[in-house]
Parts: sequence; structure tokens; C-alpha cells
Amino acid sequence: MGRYIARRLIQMVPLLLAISILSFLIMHLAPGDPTSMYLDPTKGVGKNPEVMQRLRRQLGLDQPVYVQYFKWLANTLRGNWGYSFINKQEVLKNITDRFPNTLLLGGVSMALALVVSIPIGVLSAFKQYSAFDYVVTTMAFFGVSVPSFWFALVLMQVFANQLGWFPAVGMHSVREQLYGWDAIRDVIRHLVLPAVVLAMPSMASWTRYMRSSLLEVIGEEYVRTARAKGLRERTVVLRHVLKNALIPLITLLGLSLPVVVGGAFIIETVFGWPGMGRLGINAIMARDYPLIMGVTMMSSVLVISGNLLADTAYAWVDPRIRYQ
Amino acid sequence: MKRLTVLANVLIVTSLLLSACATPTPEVIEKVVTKEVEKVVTQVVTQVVKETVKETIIVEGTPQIVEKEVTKVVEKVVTPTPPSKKGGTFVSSINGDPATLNGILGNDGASLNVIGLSQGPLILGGENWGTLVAGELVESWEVSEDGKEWVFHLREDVQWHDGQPFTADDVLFTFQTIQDVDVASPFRERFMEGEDPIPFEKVDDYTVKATLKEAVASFATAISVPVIPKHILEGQDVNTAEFNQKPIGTGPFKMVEWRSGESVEMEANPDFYRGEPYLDRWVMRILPSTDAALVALQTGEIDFGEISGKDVPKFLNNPDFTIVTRDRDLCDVLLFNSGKPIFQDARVKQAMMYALDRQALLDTALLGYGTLADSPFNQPVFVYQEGDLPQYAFDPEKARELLKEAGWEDTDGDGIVEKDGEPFKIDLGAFTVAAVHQRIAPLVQANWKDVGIDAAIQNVDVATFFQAAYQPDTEKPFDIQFTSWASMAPIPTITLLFMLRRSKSLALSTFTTKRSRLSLTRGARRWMRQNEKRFTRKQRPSCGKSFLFCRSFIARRSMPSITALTLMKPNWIPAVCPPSVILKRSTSRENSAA
Repeated sequence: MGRYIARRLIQMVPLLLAISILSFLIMHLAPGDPTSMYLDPTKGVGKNPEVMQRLRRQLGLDQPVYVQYFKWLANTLRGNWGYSFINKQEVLKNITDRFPNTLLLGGVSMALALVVSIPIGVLSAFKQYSAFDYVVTTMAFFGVSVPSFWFALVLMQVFANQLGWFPAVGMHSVREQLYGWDAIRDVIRHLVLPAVVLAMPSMASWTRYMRSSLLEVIGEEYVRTARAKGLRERTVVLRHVLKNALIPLITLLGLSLPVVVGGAFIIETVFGWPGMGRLGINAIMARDYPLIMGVTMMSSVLVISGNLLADTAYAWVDPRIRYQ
Repeated sequence: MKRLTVLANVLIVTSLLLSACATPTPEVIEKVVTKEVEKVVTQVVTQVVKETVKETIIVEGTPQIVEKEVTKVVEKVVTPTPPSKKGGTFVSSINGDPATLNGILGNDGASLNVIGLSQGPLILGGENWGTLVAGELVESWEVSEDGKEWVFHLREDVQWHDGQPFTADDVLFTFQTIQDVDVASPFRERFMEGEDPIPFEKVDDYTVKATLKEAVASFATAISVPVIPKHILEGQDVNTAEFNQKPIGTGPFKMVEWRSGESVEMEANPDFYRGEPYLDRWVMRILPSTDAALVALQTGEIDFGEISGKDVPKFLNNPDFTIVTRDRDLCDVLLFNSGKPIFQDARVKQAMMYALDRQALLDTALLGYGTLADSPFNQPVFVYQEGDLPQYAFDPEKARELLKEAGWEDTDGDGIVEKDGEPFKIDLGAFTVAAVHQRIAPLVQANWKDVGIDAAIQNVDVATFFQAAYQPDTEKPFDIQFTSWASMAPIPTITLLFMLRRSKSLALSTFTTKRSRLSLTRGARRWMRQNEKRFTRKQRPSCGKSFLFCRSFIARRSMPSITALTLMKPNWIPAVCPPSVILKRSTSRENSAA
């Protein structure tokens, strides 16, 4: 097991390298020049092609692509992730400013999805074909199909505007200065709506998945044996059925890590949540190469580690699995 | 039971199908008469006038982001208090992170919002500082008889936010920094005459003198950029200085903190030379989604927001909100690629103009909050002259006539006109992030289809478009493109220059003949003569000088020339004959110059 983990960790290096090369190439293949984003070519200085050329040289864009790549690689390995073209701040600072916010939102939404989907999935499976089951299935269908930005706006209108329970936008209140516990409570209040919206599709699909996984396990022989032995239904469910049914869910968890890390940008945009998803998309639109690379690499590291964690958990949970 | 569910399903499906096919009911549109109101926050009695922000194509943002090319300003007064009440926090919203807070570098909407409050230029009225020409950090200025020497007398009671006095040293430092090529300031060209930097001298601690080689009438407003402090930025690399995140300025509000992606916080500057601001703090929330900003406005999380015309009804009868409307210096236009042979005939472009029901477009996109355009200058720009301009009313019959005259007729009965066997097919480009354009593109397409023009809507990514379009000397990659347009008031010559062709320039489309260029000059000169008083306070440029100025501008600059079709909102000349707008007064012979 230990060897397996070590091997996977070593494999991460060439994988990250490949990802960086691929991202860099694709980034440069996309039409659009960061200098025209930075200086409007229609007005003022931008109209002078010499100035644009100078700017390109300053940003290092006049070199051939592979030279640029190696420069970037050398710098990154040394810890200098570069400066964003657009706001001239360090890429690392940009990322570290926003990364905790994304982690918070993603983590909470995932936890919320788990907490909701597992019990409901279990109940739904045990009460198969009942009214409860039908309701749950329909809601799950709804949750998966509804577009997140629309859902976000609906929640905002209902809960923030009409009921006034939660604030509509942002991560902090700006009108007053809050400290300590007040500040934490403030963030939690701001966190509720975006986390619910972000958790919705996961919640819905995990519920369905739990349900089907449970149904499969319930039909197994050992469950019948357990019942025949005279164990309480609760023990049967919790000790035998649930644990085994959770195994596929771990895979699902691993697969939804990219969402946690960078895919929440729609929700971040709508709710004005200062997260990394928004940072990444804005960087791509503005062709901000250093920032794009920084965000991509950061996300890649997290996703790969997350998947490794999921695989390890898988092996730990299911004794049938052996890694060499 | 089963039959019942089947029946229910069938019913649901049929009703869905039917509702999809039903024609949409027309919206009841309440037209509110627009009135021009100064865009000043009513609670605050500071000098700061929120000026028209130059809108270029919004580059940053996600596909969800709605462009800020709205025509109305909505202001919410949280408590309807008389303006003399002091204190409190005011929250407004900006639609993205500012790129930089350095006044000489920042030129995008979000940055300008913050810069406008925390820093100030010498003279208001330039590109980003409103349409009114007045001194800000300058008390008065004089121009020599020949228009080449300008002397500015600075205010003596101005302090930087850190307490240091503001002097001519700072002004000189600012201008020299802008003139430095390595700084890559977007304003650099205004401080250069061709390749040479305009020399500025310090006469004394509060007087600065500039010596030009050729007289420029709009010099005062050309140099309206925020001043940066010498004692902080001297010796630093302006591009990467920390100052850019936390600037020190002379404005009514001091920077407190910029929380990336979330908000920019400012507090009142009690030593502001025009008096202490009536607010304690001003926070700008960064909200890229205008829908969310709307909800935030409703919940009270922001106090002030710009909304699109279509959202106005929500706030109309609400006592918590005050609606302030104002004509903006912004116009939505359709750009013709006049290099294409299909557009060489002026009648074709005129026909396309007549074919558009622009009022309907305005009503659909902005609920009528806007005006139809008829000149390249927008209404708030004081150059705009009412009355005398050709109006292109909605007249599809005339459109078809004009097309026929130009040789386009529907010979094979398929609804599309042809000429010499070629059907009239063009691509209509609209940027994916421009919601208004996306909304009206199908209508434009339908209008044109009605007269036999087949336009296919293309969704275009901004960055890709600009890269392809701004290559000099290459064929432009579009037929017709939606875009937005502001006329950079009050320097009308800049707009004039936009209409001329430069052979090697970064031109979006090319046009004009020699004759019209000259006519343009004459017209510009005439305009200058008529409006000289509004331009400068004491200068009286003689006829010859303004002519010289215009001509030298026209001859030397290389600016993109654009032939555009007016769509709605402030005035733009219909593409077909830009010269005639200026020339309407002088001569009537040059009126079909396209």
C-alpha cells in the first residue's frame, strides 16, 4: 500500500509536466493577443505598433513558444510564478488571495451534499416505490437539470430579497466592521446560498447513486444472512449495507473534486464570491498567460492529489482491493 | 392508473408544445420621458461628478456578464434624507476587479470608478472626466495669442492623502512619467507631438508651463489625467509599484483596502480642498453579474446601481428608490466593413438603414430608455447639434426601392435579393458578452430579411475579433459587426478622425475620398469657430489656426476609420454619409460621398 502511494506520487511529476506543456500550448494557440487586451489598439498609445512591440517584449511574448515555456518552467520551479499581465501583481498572491475562499465554498458545499444525499438515498432505497421515493427521485431529476445561475437567482430573490434571511451577494458585509465570532458568523451567513446552489447538482446525482448502490447491496446474500441471524434492522443497515454501499460514492467524490477547485465560477460570478474559478476564467478571457498557468497548475495539483486520496480511501475501505 | 398517467403525460407534453409555438405577447412598455439630470449622488455634496465612463468593448468577464452599456443611471437613496445629513457608508458596485488603481495606467471602467473618487486631474472634461470643462486641481489657465504656450496655475490648498502638499513637482513628475515609453500609459499620445514629448516646465511651485510646437485647441482637456505623487513614486517602477494597489491621491476619498475580487473600500478625506465629504466610507462591491447587482440593490446591500432600461419597472413605484436618468455618451452601432464590394454603393447602406425598425429595437432591448442616433456625436457631448441631421425612419418600402436602384432584385423568388446572380448574404457579428446586441441581433436579422437581405448571426469572441481586426493592411474579418461606441467628448476632432481613412492604420473599415476629407476639415474648422468659447475659457483661436490644427491632426494621426450605421442611443451618423453631417451647413453638394 505504501509502495502504491509512493509510486503514485512519483507519477504525479511527469503528469504535471505534461499538463503544463499541454496547457501552455493550448493557451498560445488560442487567438487573441494579451497586449491588445492590455492596451486598446484603437486609441492612444496602442495605435502605435512600435509601442505594442515594446510591450510584447516587456512581457516576453516575442520569443518563440518553447523558449517562453522553458522560461516559465524555470521560474516556476524556483518559486517565481510570475506577474499577472492585467493587474501586475504576483500570480501567487492573486491565487492565495482567492484560494481559501474557493476551498471554503467547495468544501462546505461538498459536505452539505454528502450530509443530505446519504441519508435521503438510504431512506429512498429502503422505501422503494413509496411516495417518498418518488418525490426524492423527481427532486433529484430537478436538481440535476436546473441551470445553476437561474437557480442562484431564484434563491437570491426568494431568500435574500423577499425573506431577507441571507445576504444576496459577497463574502463579507461591507457596511460594518466585524471581528472575531461576528465575522465568522457573517461569513457563514454569506456562505449558505452559494453553497446550496453549488451543492445542488451533486446532491441530486449522489442521492440517486446512493439509492441504486444501496438497492444493489440490499439484494446481496450476506444481508439476507445478517437478517436471518436475527440482527436488528439498524445494525444490518448501518454495519453491513451502508458501508458497502458507500464505496462507489468515494469514486464519485473523487470525480467531483475539479468542481470544488475551479468549476464553481458561475456561482462565484453570480454571488460575487471572490474565488479562484472567477479568477481563472477572467484570466483566460483576458489572455493573462502567467495567471492562467498559475491557476491551471494549482488546480491540477489539487485534482491529482484529490484523486490519489480517493483511490487510497477506496483501497482502505474495501478489503477486496489490493494494489501492488 | 396507468392510463391516467399516460393521459397526464400526453397533456403535459401537448401543452408544452403549444406554449412553445404561441407567439409571445408584446410587452407593455411604459415610455418615460428622459430628462437630463446631472449624475451627482444626491446625498453627497462633494465636487465629484460621476462622469461618463468611456465604454470600450467589455473585455473581462464571463459569458454571463452583461455589458455595462446601459443608458440609464439608477440611484437608490436608502433613507430619503435631506442632503445635509452627514456620515454613513455608501455602497456601490463595479462589474469587475479594477486592473490597477494607478491613475495614469488605469483606463477600464472598474479602475476608473475608483480612480475617479480617489484621484483628480488638473482639468475636468477630458476623456474620462465628464463633459464639462472646468479646473479641478488647477485654478485657472492662460493661453498665449498663438496658442502655443499654456500656463496653468495650480490650486495651492491641495494636499495628498498622506498630508504632503501638492505642488508643480508632482504635475511635472506625472507628465514625464506618462511620456516615458516604458511606462506604457494609455494616455501617452496626448502628451506627445508626433515623436517628441511636449515640454513642460515648472515656473514656480504652483505654476506649470507647456510649450507646444503647434497650437492645439483641446490641449487643456487632453492633459486631464490624474496626478500621481512624486514623493512616493519617484525612483520606483510605476508598472509594478505597490502604489497601484493602494494609491495616494488628492480626491475626496482615501483608499483603505482592496480585497481582491470582493470590494474596494475608501474612507473620506477630511482635508479635501472642496470640503469634507458628507460620507464616512465608500465601498465598491465587485459584482460581475448585473442580475445579482439588481438583487443586491433590492435587498439594500448596495445603495447605488446602474440598471438597464428593461429593469426600470421594478423600481418605478418604489418609495425606497430614486431613479435618475441621464443620456449617456454611449451608442450601439453596426459597423460596416466598407472594404467589401457589397457595401461600396451608398444606396445599399442607406437601404439597410431604412429597413431597420430602430424604435422597436430600442423598445425590446432597453424598454425604450434611449434615443435613436443620428450623428456620430452623442447627445451629452456638446458638439451634438440637433435638428439638421438626416433621420432614417423605418421605411422598408424605401429600402427595397433603394436596393432595386442599386441593382439588387429578387429574381428567383426566394425572398433574397440578388445582383448578377449573387445573393445578398452577409454575416452579422455580435460579441458573445454583449447581451443587448445578442438580444437585438435576431430582430435586425428579421428586419433585413424582410427586404431581402440574408444576414447570418455570428457569435464572436472579443479577443479573437480584435486580434484579427487590428492587423494593419489586411482584410478585415467581418461583414457587419455590432459594437459600442463613445465619442470621447468633448474633443470632437478625435471623433472626426475616426471617420477618415488612413492607409496603413489600424482601421476597422476604410472610407472617404479626398474631397470629403477636405470637406471634413472645413466643417471641423467651422465648428471650432462656432464653438471656440465653449472650448477654452480665454483662448480665441483664429480661423487659420484651427484649420491648421485640424489638418495637422488629420494628416499625421493614424486612427481607425469606421463607417458605421446608427442603431440607437446617442447620435451617430448613418454610415452612408458621415461627411454630410458636418457639411450640412456649409455645402449641399457633398452629400453622397460614400
